[in-house]
Amino acid sequence: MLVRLAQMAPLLLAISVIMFVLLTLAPGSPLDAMIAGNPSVRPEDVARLRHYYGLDDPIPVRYVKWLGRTVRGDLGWSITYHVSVGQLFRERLPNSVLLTATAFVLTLCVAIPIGILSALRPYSLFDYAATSVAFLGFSIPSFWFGLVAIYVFGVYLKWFPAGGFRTTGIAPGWPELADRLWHMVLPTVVLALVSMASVTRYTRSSMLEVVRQDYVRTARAKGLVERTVVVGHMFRNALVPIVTLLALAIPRLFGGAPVTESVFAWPGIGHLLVDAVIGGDYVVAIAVLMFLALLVLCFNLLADVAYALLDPRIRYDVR
Amino acid sequence: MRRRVWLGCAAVAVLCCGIGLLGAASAAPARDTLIIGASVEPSTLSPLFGNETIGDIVNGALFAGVIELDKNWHARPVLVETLPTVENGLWKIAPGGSMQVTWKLRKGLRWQDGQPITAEDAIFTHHLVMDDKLPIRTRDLDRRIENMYAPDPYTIVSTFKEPYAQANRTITEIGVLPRHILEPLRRKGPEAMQQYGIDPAVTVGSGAFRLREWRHGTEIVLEANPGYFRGRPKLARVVIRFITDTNTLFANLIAGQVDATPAFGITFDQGLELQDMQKQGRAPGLHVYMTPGDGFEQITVNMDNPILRDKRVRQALLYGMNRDEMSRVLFRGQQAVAHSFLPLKHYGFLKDIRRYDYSPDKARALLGEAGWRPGPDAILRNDRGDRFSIQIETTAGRKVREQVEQILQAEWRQLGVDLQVHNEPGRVMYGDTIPKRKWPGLIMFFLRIDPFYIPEPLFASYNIPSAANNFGGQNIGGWKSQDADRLVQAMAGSLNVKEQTKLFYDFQRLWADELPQYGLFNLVDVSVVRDGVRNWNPIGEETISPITRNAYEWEWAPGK
Repeated sequence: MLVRLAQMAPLLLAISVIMFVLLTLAPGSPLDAMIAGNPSVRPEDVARLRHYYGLDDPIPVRYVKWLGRTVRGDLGWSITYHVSVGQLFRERLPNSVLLTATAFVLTLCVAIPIGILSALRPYSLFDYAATSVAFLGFSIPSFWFGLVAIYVFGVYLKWFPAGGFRTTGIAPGWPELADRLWHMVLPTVVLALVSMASVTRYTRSSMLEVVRQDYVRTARAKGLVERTVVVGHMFRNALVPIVTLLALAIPRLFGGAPVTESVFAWPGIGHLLVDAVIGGDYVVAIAVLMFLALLVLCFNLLADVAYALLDPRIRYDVR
Repeated sequence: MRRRVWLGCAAVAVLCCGIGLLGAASAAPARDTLIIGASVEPSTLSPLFGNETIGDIVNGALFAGVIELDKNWHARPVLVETLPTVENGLWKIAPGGSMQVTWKLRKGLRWQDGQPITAEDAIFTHHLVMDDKLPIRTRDLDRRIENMYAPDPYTIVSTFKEPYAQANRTITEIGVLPRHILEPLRRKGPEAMQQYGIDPAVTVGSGAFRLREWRHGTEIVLEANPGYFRGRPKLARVVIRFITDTNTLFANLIAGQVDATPAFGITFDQGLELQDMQKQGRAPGLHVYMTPGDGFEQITVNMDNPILRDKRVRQALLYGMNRDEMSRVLFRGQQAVAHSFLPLKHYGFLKDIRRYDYSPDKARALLGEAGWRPGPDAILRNDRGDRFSIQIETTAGRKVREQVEQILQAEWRQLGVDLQVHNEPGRVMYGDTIPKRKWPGLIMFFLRIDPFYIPEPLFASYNIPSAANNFGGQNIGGWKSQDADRLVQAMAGSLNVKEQTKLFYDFQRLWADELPQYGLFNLVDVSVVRDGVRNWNPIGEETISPITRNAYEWEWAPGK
């Protein structure tokens, strides 16, 4: 395990180099917007601002400075927001975690039971319906689904707000909690849709693989109740591939959040990433991208740990 | 098992309905609040560091300007008693060209924390603008000020070494900021200074509303300043909600979750769609304003292009462009053809400027005069056998601009001109292609011309971007004209409005003859407000006099 952890450091370093170089080589910076939008800005103003923000340094120098700051825990200063990137993370990350965690729980609660029921009744009406909905989930782009959800449930039916995070002036306590949940319903469902589709399909196929195994037949022959057979014998053994998928679902949910958060005006780090990329604020963009990269590596590691817990035959011995 | 599933589904449905009902019940907005939807969030509200129009719009409520504009873009004083002019003796010119401008602050003005606004605040602000340790974006006015002093707490005197036509536009480039707040922050360093305009605890302005809360990514809450010198605002609060996806913002307007959106909220196409929906009764209760603004869509000519260098060719291409038809088809005539680079309300706008109404015959005659004859493939060729093939570029993915390109391709093809389209993402175009003059023929984008703008940076030959000036100039087309240089310099130095207006007229005649740019359309600002909101008065200018300038007068009609 320690080896796996140690392997993450050079990997993260390599990712940071690639991202930093690509982001800084991309044309445009926040200064371009200042110049384009203000005909009074003079060449000496541009030179002064470039120097102030360190944009006149060569890329390797900028990278080393950025790396030095980052390892000391200082993520830098946003050129466009005029606050530290750490502060931006503190403001935005909890919102993304809330949305992503809820979407993840929704995925677990809906997709796994549907996958199990589909596998237990293969080629039934329920199975066909679940399969169709899952394929819809795969194929509908989330921004489009988000807009349709807003127009149907926000504009015409008025069941849920057409985007946003909270109602201004809401009283604290229960009304605020209800208001937050009310605002979360549509973005959560839209964000969860794609992962629900894949988890449903994986659960179904994993369950189908174990459903005719000898030990399942033996369990039934022993007279165990169906629930124990399904949960204790079938699902437990079908879990290993599902765990991989679920472990990667969290970073994938975070990765899908920029679209959903932008469509629903949800102030999370995904939304921040979109704004930072558009505004050329590479300090913010690289911080969010590194966070996503770290998330993928950590959840991969977590999946490996989970394998060992679920299947005693799997061991990570260092030879 | 099945029963449990159904019970579970029913429980979820009840929970959703409960959340919806509770949320909907708690969301009913009080009518002492106006919720404005915006598609962009400002980076800061500090006039020192901010750059975006949305920041100017919020700041219109937070800060009282030195001046503001009326609906015809005539300046009137706000923080000061009167505008300095040569006629009223507050603007004095010495024989050598040096100047002295005197500003008289209104007496009894107070910052939102109750401290008095004095001349010391203005002088401190000027020193901030000139502080090299701060990332101030521009010092166009302040760099020209030789000295600024206060003979008494309400009088500010600025001296200039050279004449400057815009010296009575404002006291400093960014107005007047509170010294008692910013001086302690300045001592702590540049990063502490940037808290002003972000942190409500230190963001103290002079306007009708003060910053109560800023939830980044969500909304800014402004609350009424009861001590505002023009009277207590009629609304208790104004909320600016940020919804970056314009489709979602549009849905929020229809759903009633935002009450208004200023310019740069929804798109022009969405404004037209909203007008259609209103006609069909599908979006009742909203009023759409289409206000001619200070922006114009234009095509800049690269004057180094060997084909386009010939004035007759540039004129021919404009005669071959049916802009009236484009305006009718693309904008239902609501964005008029731009015959000048100046906005319609600009004091120097020349009404009888030379017009290039669609005339393929005139276009062909001019092209023939310039030595272009049809070749075997129907494309024109000159005596050297060069094909008349030029390139146009704009921001990829902008539907209307791409439609204009397609129309131009078809119209100019009839003249024998081969127009190649090469579009790039906005970041590449604005970040690299335009500043470094990397486009070979024509480039289409929009420009904003503020009501006091002197076009020296845009058209003087010494402002052509090049490696020598680190690509800092604004004359990106590379127009070199001694007449243009003379006129824009004279404009910048003229202190007499009548004389300056005449110079503007002369310059526009030259511009319309030389055509370093093709004006396409005068853009309108689309703003929407819910019926029942009173005193929402867009004037098509959002930098000096944003829609929020009279936020203290906004109110809901009774019963709304």
